[in-house]
Amino acid sequence: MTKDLSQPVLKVRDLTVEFATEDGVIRAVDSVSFDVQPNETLGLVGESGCGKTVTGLAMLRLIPMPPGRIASGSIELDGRDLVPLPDRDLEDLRGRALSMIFQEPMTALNPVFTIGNQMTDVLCRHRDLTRRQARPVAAELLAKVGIPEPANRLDDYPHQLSGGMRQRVMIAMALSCNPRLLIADEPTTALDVTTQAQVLEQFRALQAEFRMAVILVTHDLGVVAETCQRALVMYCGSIVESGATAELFSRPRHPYTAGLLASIPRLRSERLPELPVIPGRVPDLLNLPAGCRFADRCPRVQERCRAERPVLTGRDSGVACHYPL
Amino acid sequence: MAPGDPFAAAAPLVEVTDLRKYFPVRGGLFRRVVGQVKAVDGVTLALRAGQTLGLVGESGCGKSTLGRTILRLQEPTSGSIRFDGVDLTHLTRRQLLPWRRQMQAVFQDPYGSLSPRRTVAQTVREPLDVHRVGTAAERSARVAELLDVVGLSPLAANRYPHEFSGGQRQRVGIARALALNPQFIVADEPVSALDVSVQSQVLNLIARLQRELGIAFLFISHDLAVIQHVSDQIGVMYLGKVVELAPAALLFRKPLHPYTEALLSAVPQVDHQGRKQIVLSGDVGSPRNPPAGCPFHTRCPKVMDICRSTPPVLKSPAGDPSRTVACHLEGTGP
Repeated sequence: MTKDLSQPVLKVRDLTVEFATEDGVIRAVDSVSFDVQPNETLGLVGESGCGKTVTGLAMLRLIPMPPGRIASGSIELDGRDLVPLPDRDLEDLRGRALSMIFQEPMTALNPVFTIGNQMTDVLCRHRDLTRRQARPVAAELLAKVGIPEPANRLDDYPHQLSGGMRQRVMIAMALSCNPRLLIADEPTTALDVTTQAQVLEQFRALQAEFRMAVILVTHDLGVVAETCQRALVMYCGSIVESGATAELFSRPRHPYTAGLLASIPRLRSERLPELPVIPGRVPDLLNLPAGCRFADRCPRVQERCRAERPVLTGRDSGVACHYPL
Repeated sequence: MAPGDPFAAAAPLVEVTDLRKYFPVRGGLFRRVVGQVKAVDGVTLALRAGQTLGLVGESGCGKSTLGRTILRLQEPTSGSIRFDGVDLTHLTRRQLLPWRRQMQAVFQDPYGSLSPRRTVAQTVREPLDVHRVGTAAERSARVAELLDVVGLSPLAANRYPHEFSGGQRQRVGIARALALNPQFIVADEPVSALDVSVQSQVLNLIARLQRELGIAFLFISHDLAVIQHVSDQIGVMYLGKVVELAPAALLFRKPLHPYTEALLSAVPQVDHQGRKQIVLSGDVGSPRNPPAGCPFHTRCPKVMDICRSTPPVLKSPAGDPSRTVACHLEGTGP
């Protein structure tokens, strides 16, 4: 595989993912386009149901089908579209060029096999090693993610490790084939803050070492601010704003981004009498408003917003709003 | 007492003294007790009427068990719980009943803590039925009033929990807790399951209830930013012990315990420029077999020899009676 640093690793164009439900078809991801550059960490943020996880899963074509389907669009990894790819070719890419880490390491690891067993499986499958050759490689990977006494840990079962250690094992497994792109879905959400800080620090160091692109899916704006160079804010299946993280968080342009940022309780020594809120709630995906999907909750709403749906002004840095801040 | 004036009552409303809750660990063929998990290990706290005490700590530190033990949803192993000057520790269930009206709880999971078979009105009304408050008509009127207080439409009354979002369900849980006009509410991670935009709505509701109804809260959360938004005082727990207790503003401006400091620095921040992060090494010790000396010494970046052998005592550091800390660095040895 070529490693051209001037071209994006991943190009997603007009990706639409639909799910058939009893009440009708839901469009969980609606015409989403973005690029991921080599060595870049891209944050995908939004609240539950905004489509961020489905977008992440779609990158590996892990959408449960049926009821889901990729209705349209393309996902190009190093110039090769994954959408029409036969399952067999895709299996070769998963785990090797593409890796994923999930929120709950306990459910992602198999409880009846040892850590070593599960790690060597991946190495044997994708790197053509024998079990005997794979074991020291696995131990080395565990050492890289900061697990003490790695050789002994290989014989442990997942339940013998703490949550933070399990998530480190997941990261080690995801890195074992030196992937081009890693998708991390809420990798630290189930961890305590001090453990989260440890794992994120490790994660940043490893990304620099392995030189891979990362899509970090999370609801935590703080994690994005500290980990990602660029971020996409999603709402009701679409990207409402994109840009460099520092810029995006210091000068949000979409009223939703601004509202979200304002409503998080911050660590301050003074206590505010009231937290700013975004009124109302996310609309039902089965019954979306015609114009801008944020219109009903937006403090800047005007007539045009209810009639005409705004489009994202730019892929790398843009806003989908008729009257941005 | 006048609501809104936290200093109207001099005596504490809730007083917890050296409270312990140990859970037996059973093992072997005969399921004998082979050890104990010291979930709450000698906690002393006081809470005045209308005040909010925030309790923060990571999973397994014993904060939820402490909340449940104070409400006597769990029987304490030792120590005492006094409410409004009365010792509740050894009261029977029947004797406890009138006090239960004064002490309510709001739980984390708005999906698991509401019965799916009851309408919102039935759920909110249940405490009134159990304690036989007023006539049927009065109870219905009270339910309508409560729904209004927590910001739910009167139409919500005859609907079922599955028809509501997480934030609205949590409002139902809060309405139920308010039904009997309690003086004290234990709120255990009440906003942790909610999305940020909804979380701030519910936090504002809780802050308003504190102000308008003068209810004292024990607010339990793993999230420091959430805790500081609602608390007057904050207690930091680690492995079953309170390691620092201070007025909220003071704790954030000048944390004394190295664990508090690490905890504060570990919270990912949107505006993180110029902040130096303290990344701890290692994992939290086991409450079944806590480290000797200071429970935090295995991870403490400032550990000294004495910390490994002698447990520090929670007391005021020299020259500052407004706060307490358990750390040898602050000279709070035995």
